[in-house]
Amino acid sequence: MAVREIISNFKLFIEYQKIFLKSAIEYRANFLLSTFFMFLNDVIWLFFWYLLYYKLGDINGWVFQDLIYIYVFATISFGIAGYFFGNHKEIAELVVKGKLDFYLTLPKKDLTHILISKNSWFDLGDLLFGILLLIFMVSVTKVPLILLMIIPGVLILIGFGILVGSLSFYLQSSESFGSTLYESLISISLYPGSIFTGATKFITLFILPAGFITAVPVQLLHSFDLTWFILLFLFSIALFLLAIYVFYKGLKRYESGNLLYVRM
Amino acid sequence: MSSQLNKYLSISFINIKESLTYIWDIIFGKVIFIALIIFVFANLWTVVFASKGEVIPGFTLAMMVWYLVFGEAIITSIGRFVKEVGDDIKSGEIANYLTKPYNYIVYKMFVSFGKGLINFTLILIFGGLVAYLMVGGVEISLISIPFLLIVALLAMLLNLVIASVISLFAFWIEDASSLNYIYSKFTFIFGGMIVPLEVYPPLVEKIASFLPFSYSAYHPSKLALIFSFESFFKVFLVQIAWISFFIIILIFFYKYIIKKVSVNGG
Repeated sequence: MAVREIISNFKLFIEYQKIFLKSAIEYRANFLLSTFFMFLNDVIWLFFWYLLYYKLGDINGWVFQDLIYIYVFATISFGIAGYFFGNHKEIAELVVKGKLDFYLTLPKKDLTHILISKNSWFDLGDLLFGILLLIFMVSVTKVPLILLMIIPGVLILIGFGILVGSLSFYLQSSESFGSTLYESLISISLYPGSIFTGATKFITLFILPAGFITAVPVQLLHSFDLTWFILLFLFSIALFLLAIYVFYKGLKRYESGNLLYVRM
Repeated sequence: MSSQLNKYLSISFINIKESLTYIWDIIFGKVIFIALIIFVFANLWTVVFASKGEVIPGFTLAMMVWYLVFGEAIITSIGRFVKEVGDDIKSGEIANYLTKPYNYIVYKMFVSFGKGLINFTLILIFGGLVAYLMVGGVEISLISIPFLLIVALLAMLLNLVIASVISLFAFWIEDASSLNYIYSKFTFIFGGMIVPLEVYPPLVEKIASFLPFSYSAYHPSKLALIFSFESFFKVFLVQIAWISFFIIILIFFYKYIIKKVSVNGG
């Protein structure tokens, strides 16, 4: 049964990807612009760090190549989570505006359907940037480990997005706060992990787990530690499962509104 | 003319009152996020100064962090101006505004300016609090404050005028958010919002300090920390020049576009 459900959801995922592709072809100017500008955004930011490291040499032992690793982990994780599971950032809006009704009335697992039914062209720009960095700026010997450690990053992004979005089931007017928390996670993950020490490091690992998206994987690339490697995967899976639990628990409190909207 | 200005000033005043009504939304949204960025950079500079000392001669650790506070307060105060204009154009909502007895883009600028004053104040307070707790305060002479406020307001206006020109591209590309994204990154980095331009290699520093973006961020922020009347007059005059330049572009660009605008039905 579970296998059939997984196959069925995968087929639905493929159908959505076909629709998204058709949409991209139809609105190709917007698609190309959005993708290109996010790509350019990443280039500008990486150039900024290049200029800063040019001046400083290193920041607490981390050099510019470490920033490249940070951006590889960050942009590919953002890209996968945002392009293929775009609604993970939109849970709060779906709850507040009564848009969950569409999903609740269909014979598909609610959360899976919600996650895969939207994509973000901006995040495709991130994904392309990350892949190009991986191809041209990273030693090929490190690629398998990097690809493996992107999985927890994706799980954390999606899980955290669902978690903060699910606050809307419990707290009124938490949409803005949830969005701030998510943007903070994204933002912190793009800074060199070497600047965080002590209590701040604890916060960036276990409260706003940006460290597990980028800093910990980069550290593991330098010197592999099995304990931290296992912790990385255990934490990301635990966060993801917690997010699913909180979402479905919150769903029981969901009340639809009278708002009519056209789903395009 | 004065009645026209009163009309637009009333719009700003209404938006100030609206912002004050929803002040906690602003604090828990934008302001906390910016305070977090200041916190992150305070960590960064603390670590750098501990191992390398002064990065720029004459700039202490506290000055590096407070520089960011001032820059953030000015630049991020305009909020999502370009996106809002882009949304109006994409949705066709702009058709409602074009029939009203005011200029649409001037109206949006005064709306943004009103909200921007509240954002500016809140970011200074909360961002300043984070900076103070992390690295302590900086010395700012009382006599310089009125002049710094003038330069800060002109910096916000310059940023807004440039954003207005960019927002008009939404008439062609329908989604100017992407352009705004890049413009804002240019201002953050090459406008010197995040770090003083002296951090960059000399050629980059020279080019960036000439561009208009630096008069929205770098020059006002540096003036706040290293004030002199000579620098004030220089920054003031160049800001007026750039604002005038972009207003002229905006007027011609807007007149050209409005003649050609078409709105989709629905």
